[in-house]
Amino acid sequence: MNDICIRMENVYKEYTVADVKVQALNNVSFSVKKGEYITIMGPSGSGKSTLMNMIGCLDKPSGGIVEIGGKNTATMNEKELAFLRNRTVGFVFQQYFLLPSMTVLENVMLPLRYQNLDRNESKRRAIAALEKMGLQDRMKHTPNELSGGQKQRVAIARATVTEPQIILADEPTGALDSETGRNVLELFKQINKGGTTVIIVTHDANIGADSPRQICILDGKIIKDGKD
Amino acid sequence: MFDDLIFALKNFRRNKVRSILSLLGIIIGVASVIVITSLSQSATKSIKDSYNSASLDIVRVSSGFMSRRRNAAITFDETFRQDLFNSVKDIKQIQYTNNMNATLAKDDLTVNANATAVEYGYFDMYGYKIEKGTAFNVSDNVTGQQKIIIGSKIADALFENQEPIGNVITLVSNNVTFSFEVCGVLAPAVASNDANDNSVFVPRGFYAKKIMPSPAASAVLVQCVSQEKSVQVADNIKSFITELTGNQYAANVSSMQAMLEQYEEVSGTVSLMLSGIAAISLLVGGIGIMNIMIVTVTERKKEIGIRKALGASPNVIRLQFLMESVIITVLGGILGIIFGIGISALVAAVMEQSFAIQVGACFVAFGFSVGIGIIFGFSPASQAAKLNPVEALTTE
Repeated sequence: MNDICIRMENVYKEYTVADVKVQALNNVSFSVKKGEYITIMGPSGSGKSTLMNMIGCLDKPSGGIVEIGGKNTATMNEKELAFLRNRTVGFVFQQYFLLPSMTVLENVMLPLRYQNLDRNESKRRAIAALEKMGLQDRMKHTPNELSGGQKQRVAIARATVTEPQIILADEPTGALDSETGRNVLELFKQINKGGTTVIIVTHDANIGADSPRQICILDGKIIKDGKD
Repeated sequence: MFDDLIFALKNFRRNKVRSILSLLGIIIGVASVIVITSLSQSATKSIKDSYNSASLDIVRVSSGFMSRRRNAAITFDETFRQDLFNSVKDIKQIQYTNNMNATLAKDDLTVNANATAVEYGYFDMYGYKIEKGTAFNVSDNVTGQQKIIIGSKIADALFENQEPIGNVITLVSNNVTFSFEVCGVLAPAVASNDANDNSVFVPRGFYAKKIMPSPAASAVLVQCVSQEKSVQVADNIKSFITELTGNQYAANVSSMQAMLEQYEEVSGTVSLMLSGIAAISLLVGGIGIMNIMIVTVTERKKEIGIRKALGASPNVIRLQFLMESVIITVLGGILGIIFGIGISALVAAVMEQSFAIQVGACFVAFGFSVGIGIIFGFSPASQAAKLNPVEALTTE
């Protein structure tokens, strides 16, 4: 049985910025088993955002193999990538990225809408996801009426509502105070206990220290992969 | 789909001023399509109403310009009637009429009226209805009976509370007084052509007997075998008279049908021109929509990035933005139709024309505005669909 959910093999990624070639990822290889809890660390410009985009199927490699949920993204078109992203990955962003004109409930229902799920069923599942985050009495509010921690919990509800294999969080505590941040991390750990792979991208060493596996990246190369 | 619709409506409401401004082109375009079609329809309807439809097969001939040359003028006598009937094809009947200015009196009431001396069958030919009494019979005409048929307003003026039929009125023409027995009252005219309501009719036999022996007609009315033939018959009469007199202006020959056709041709040209203007304003409106959609897509890059991160495929994004532009143009179309109908109703009321709306034109205009939404929204929507999610997410 294949229990690998992410596999990177000799992955390269090049950008051209103002006629200058930038090697964002340089021969990166690693794999992640289902149910792992991983922190990807590195300073800004190290390539960790690029790596996150690869895992999140937002971007394709210039060379090498990226397999997400057993599927090679290098050969996929936009539509196939969107499909894979929708079913396999749940995103949590530092700035929450909730749509301000929609209610909390509508925000959480959005990924299910892209699965063409029945409206009532989407609603039922979104409500369940929000209840898990303790936000049942905030469903009719708009994101602007919530605190930072509440917003991030909405974002986590939105990421988990599709029951994806992978939760990908980009600096999820970056905009929160330390207390709220700890609570959010606690939520990720609980989600991970349910069997979901959680990947947290951060430059906060404390978060890394707390994690069973750290992947450190510098200048597009993995310089460390393992436990502290 | 449904959620996209709701979301699009919300966005429309949030950017109300901007959206409505960008709609103006569409509103004006659609409204002008409605106004143009409605006005030309109303005008045509009025014209048709005023030409009694039964009179469309009639060609009217009256004398034209005088000429110094001998024989150049035409006389509408009995010889001319015979020659005309024998020479021109497709004539059903020829009616001669003479006009008189007359003053009518009954007791101490007097009114001025157009009096026309007509022959047997005149009312049937025009389809004029006799509301009370009867038309002249053949012998009334031949023997020149002093019987009169009066228009409805004349009847109202002279016989307020009395029964006109069988009553006697006095007619004064050129200082000669005659007494006439009222034998019929015309039904009031249905449309704007109410000249008959102020007219009276006497047998032409009376005119020949008492006013002028063997009179030449002041107007010749030629009824054709069918409405379709009337234009051709009018042309043939014209050439017949030109040949007879050597003067192409000897008579005025006019057919209602030809006038109607000419009118329709002119109004068709005008409509076509105005439709061109409407098309241009719709095009400008479309460009306005495209502009606003490009702005919208640029402004909402981040939203597009988020939606893509959540798994929206390019097609889903394209559909969403296409829906927004169609919503804008549909609203523009509806407003345009409302304004268009309002303006045409107003214009029709001011010009005292009958008001007619072409439902087909409303549908066409509406379809156009939806089409414009799709055509001009497609490029911005595709632009949104093609956005790179990574780039879109990092825009501020």
